[in-house]
Amino acid sequence: MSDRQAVRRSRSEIGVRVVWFLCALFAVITIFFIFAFLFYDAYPIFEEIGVWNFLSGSVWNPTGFPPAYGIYSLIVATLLATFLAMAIAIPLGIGSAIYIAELAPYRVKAWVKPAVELLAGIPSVVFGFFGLVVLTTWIRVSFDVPTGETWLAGSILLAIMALPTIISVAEDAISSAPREYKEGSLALGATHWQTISRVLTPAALSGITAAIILGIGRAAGETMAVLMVTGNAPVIPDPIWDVLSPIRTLTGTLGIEMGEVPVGSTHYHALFGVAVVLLVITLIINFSATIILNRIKRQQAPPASTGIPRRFPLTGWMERQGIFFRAHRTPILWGLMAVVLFAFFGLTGLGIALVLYLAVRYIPGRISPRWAQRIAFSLAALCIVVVLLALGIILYDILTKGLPYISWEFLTEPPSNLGRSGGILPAIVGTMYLVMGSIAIALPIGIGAAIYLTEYTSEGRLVGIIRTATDLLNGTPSIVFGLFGFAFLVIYLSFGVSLIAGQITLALMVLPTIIRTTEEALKTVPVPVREGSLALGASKWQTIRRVVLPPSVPGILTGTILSIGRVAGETAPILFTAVVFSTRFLPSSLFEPVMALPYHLYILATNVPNATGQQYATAVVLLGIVIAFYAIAIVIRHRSSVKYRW
Amino acid sequence: MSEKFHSELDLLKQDTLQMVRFARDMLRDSMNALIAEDYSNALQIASRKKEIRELTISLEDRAYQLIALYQPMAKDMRVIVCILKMIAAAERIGRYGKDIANMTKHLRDQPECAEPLPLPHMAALVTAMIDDVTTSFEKENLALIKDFSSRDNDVDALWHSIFRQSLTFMMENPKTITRSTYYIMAARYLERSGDHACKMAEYVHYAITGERIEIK
Amino acid sequence: MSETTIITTENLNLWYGENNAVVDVSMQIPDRRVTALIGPSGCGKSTLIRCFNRMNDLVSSCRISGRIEFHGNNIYAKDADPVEIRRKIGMVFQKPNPFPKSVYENVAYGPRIHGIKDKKRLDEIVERSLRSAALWDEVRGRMDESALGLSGGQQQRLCIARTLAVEPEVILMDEPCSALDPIATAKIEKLIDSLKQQYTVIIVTHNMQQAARVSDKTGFMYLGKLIEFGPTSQIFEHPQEDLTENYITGRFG
Repeated sequence: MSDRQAVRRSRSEIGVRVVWFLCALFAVITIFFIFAFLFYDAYPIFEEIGVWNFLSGSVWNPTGFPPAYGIYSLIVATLLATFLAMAIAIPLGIGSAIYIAELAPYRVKAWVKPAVELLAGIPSVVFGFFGLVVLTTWIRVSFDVPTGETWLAGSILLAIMALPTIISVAEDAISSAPREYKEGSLALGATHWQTISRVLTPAALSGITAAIILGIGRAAGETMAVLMVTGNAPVIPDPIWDVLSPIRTLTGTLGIEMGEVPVGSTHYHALFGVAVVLLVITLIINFSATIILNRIKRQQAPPASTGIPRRFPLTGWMERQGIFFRAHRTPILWGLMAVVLFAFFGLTGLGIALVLYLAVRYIPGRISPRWAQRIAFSLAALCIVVVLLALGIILYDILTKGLPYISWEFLTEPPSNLGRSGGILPAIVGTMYLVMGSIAIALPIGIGAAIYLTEYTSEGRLVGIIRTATDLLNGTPSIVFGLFGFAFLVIYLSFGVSLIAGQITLALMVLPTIIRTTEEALKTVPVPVREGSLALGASKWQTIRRVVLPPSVPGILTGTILSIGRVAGETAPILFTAVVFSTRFLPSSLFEPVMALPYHLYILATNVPNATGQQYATAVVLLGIVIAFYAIAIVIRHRSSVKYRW
Repeated sequence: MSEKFHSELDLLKQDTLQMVRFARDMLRDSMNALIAEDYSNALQIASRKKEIRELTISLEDRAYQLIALYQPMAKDMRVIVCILKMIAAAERIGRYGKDIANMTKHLRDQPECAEPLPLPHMAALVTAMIDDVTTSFEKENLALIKDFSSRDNDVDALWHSIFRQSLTFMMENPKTITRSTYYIMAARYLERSGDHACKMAEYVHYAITGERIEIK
Repeated sequence: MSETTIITTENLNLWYGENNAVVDVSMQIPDRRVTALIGPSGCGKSTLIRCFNRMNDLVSSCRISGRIEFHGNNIYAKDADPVEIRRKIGMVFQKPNPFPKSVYENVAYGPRIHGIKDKKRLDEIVERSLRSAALWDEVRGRMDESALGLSGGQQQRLCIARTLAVEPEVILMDEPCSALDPIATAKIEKLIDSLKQQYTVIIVTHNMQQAARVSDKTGFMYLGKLIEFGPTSQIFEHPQEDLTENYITGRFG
């Protein structure tokens, strides 16, 4: 190669690298921007009434006289809703994961796994709709209360929504535990259940913990479902364990009030204050996740092979506390549980704690390993049955009540009579535009960032920062994106409520998913393959373009299609940025608002009486589109994993 | 290599040295019996041949086992080679001892020679050489075999001297032919044993330094 | 040296689907001796020993005919309990596979699952097993550290200690040294020597010198069949079958 060619080659190499670097930096910039804008718009409320009063004030009544801006009840509500949801989802999820990973016969596993993944695809507004129409009625009737819109309803929905995440990640972790552990345990004369509970599950602990934390993040950040079924009364349940009390979460507050608040008013700033608190909670969840996962990894792996551990100033002190806790963990945990039960249930609680303690101490010793195994396996199977039952009920209800209303007119006509009749064509078209635009923005940036992160760097400080930023973006509730979109695009840049604002907001929301799935796809190409190409004299970019990217395409495609599904189904980000309820005309420019299917369903369900048929039919169409995308993604992923066996 | 191998190798080395000393004893005792014309002793000495044959077989087997099982390297391998050569040499020396012992009964009633031959002196030299090479291998001390070349020359000189003297006796007094011939053969056996000792010394040198030398 | 038999196989056949991996094998494994199985790759020796502790049960396409008797009882009988069998017949694998737990917990795992809870007893068992595996001195100061931090040879000895902790009668070793360096291998061979006073050892190895060094009886397998089975010195010095001789002299395999 001539010198000139070489120079040109190296210049373009550098150029390409810079482009990818900028893409990766984009994530950092975005999260920084989001924080900045939210803080900027939230600052006035902190200035006016002080951070402590804001956080601890027990009355939230911004439209009252005088207005009250205390979010304590909202924080508690978020915590309670998440806590109860996790109490339901974690045992069910881990039990199901164990069943799928270890107990399911091959043929059963083949359809159960995709079924669970489909459950993940159902949009939250559809859950909310189902909850509003079916679940709350059931609660009202079964428990004989005036209304079914309660904490319980919200947590049940959140649990169902978090389950697929927990199950998939936990099942993945358990299946990935090395086969040698299983063989080693069985060879020592352990039963299958003993092997699962004492060796495989602890070995998969970091994955299971990640699953739980992802589940918590999902539950805490959910907006639409909770705002449709929890009753939205900003009170703290009294007594604290009254699951039939209505509550209002932080996310619900944003969803309900943002649309009606005058821009620039104190109420407006208060809502941004809420968004900031939500973001901080997300930060805390992420932070603790990293610490917990690092600890687990360090405990299990040999000391020499851990990467650069994250070192935060408090970690040393925390480690010493950790050692203390570990040594005394059994009595500490029991003590904690006793305190919690006492706080909630008084003396009865202590009694329950005592009974549980005696049971756990003495009974397992009396049960033979065979019986223990039979009981455990039945419980695990029960878990997956419950999960599939939930999926089945929801699908059955929506399909049976909605399919009869689907007609050609429904799909091709605009709505009339406030949506009670006519069709939903503009909503379908609007959703399509939103999807196309957001993917067009997110895909190139996401792929570029992923390429940079996997190919051009090794683990170091800068990469750590970029990854943290991406993780934070991933965990940010979708409503926060909506608020940011509103504050920045709609107001600050004066785009107004418009298609483009919606597209950009959705793009930001889906960016971390694309980055992550693309990274995963790139990482499955083994390092020796890259080395082989470089050893032949190919440049880095040539290697990426010709050797690494082609086999990664199915993985990238899967991620893209999953993102499409998600974008099509999301309501919160577009609530204040892009949508109107009813227009007869299709949008003619990017700066006009649009209709969208999820939003249409939401308004129909919550504001338009006597439109049951339309509601169900809209739900069916939305469900159909999203599930179709998810199904295609699953098929592609399955096909390609069979094809590329490295 | 493993502990087991090294302890077995050490044991084999000790046993081999013991065998060489046993052969030396056969040589020395048979020469003493020849010169003292001690017939009963000589018979007993000759019967030791069975034992030395058995030792040869068992020690060689052990050496082959070590090679086959442990694939020794470097010095370990050279030591085993030296051991094998020493076993072979010791067997030969032992058989010379047996042959000398068998000669003793044929000297009965044979007329004496004119003068005593320096056979005891020659036997002492050769025995000393065997002793030294054994100790040299045991202690891995090359100093003991440094002058083997000249010592072997001394032994050779003695052999030639005994040969000429015997020829002279035979020419002077034909009645002494039987006795003299046997003495010549004994001296020849001693000289050959000396050569074997030199061979052993060459291999001891090889075992310790890896260098092949020739002792003439 | 009297020899009693502890495991007998009679006309044992094993199929993986259509593939007859073990063909009509009949052999008698002597008690408290080391028996080695040698043969080229794929000859069925690993498959055979995995029948002894019913690890082949884990493979769904596996089918067995014939008998395997342990102390006279058929281990494939309908009412035979594989869990109990595996307690009495332990296994050490080719690649060391310690659990991602501490050294102590690895060794204590076996006794724990068999119901022993008393800490003092567990401590005793752990120390005794580690001593028997010639590992105690090297790990006594790091019992609470992850087992994955040990070297390969130490990990393998840990796996042996772990197996010893359940007090088996037979120890199956499937090429235990093939992932180890020569020094670690020498240590394991020394260990096998000391183990045979108390346990029956059956070792599969593709290293013929190793088989000749450590074992009392050797079996040569080829294409699933047991070609020859006899005292080690006989197999390696004057084998009776031509096939055996050709394998040992390196003419094939």
